[in-house]
Amino acid sequence: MGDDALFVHEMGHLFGAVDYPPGNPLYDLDTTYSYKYDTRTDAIDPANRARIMKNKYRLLW
Amino acid sequence: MELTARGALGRFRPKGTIALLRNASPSRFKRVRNVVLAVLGIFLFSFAGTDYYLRGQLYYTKRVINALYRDTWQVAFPPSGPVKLYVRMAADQTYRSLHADWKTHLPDVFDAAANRFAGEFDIRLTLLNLDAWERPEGLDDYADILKYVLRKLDRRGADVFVVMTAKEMPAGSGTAAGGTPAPPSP
Repeated sequence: MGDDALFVHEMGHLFGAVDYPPGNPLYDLDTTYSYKYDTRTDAIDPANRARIMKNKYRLLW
Repeated sequence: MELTARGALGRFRPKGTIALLRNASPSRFKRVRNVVLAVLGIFLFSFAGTDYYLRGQLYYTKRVINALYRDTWQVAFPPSGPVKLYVRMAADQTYRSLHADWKTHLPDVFDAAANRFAGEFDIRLTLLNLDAWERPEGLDDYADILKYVLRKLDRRGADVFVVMTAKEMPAGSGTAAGGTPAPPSP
């Protein structure tokens, strides 16, 4: 995956998206937030999609 | 018999704090109010000061304010529509050396991500400008880079400041390092 996928990944963190490291139940999920697949996909899983939508209007300083 | 509001309130005999405030003279009320505000102020300053001392930024203070804002004001007045954010990007010397065309490459990277956020979340990102920044020697850890950026680099009014950095792979590994964006720092 290219820099644009990484950019999307990191931007998602600004709005509350969380990573799935080894040991996390969602580690095997095909999402950019899984440490297993982060270099292979730029897909955002539904849970993180919901987090981003929930925090869409959060304050950014 | 007609019962006026004044008459109804007159029969109401509150106890405790309400009675204390109701019966208090204006000067006493002001004194209590000032003490409460002073205690709150001292607590907030202590919290924010400790936060800044320990984390190098107002990390938890901002999170608390965000949570309060989201769970109070935004609940009462739910926002809607698109979110517009202005972004600045800066690439360090390693990233620039790995991407000689960084001035044209980074806008493409930005556009791809911005299109996704606009399409999927209605979060519209606008790129203000691209800059070069010099990462000090030995500053390799991403967390340290973020702390450095927060303290030393000026995002000049942008909502999001994205710093690009890259790691050079050890000689002989046969793998070229790709650009890695450090997490956007609000």
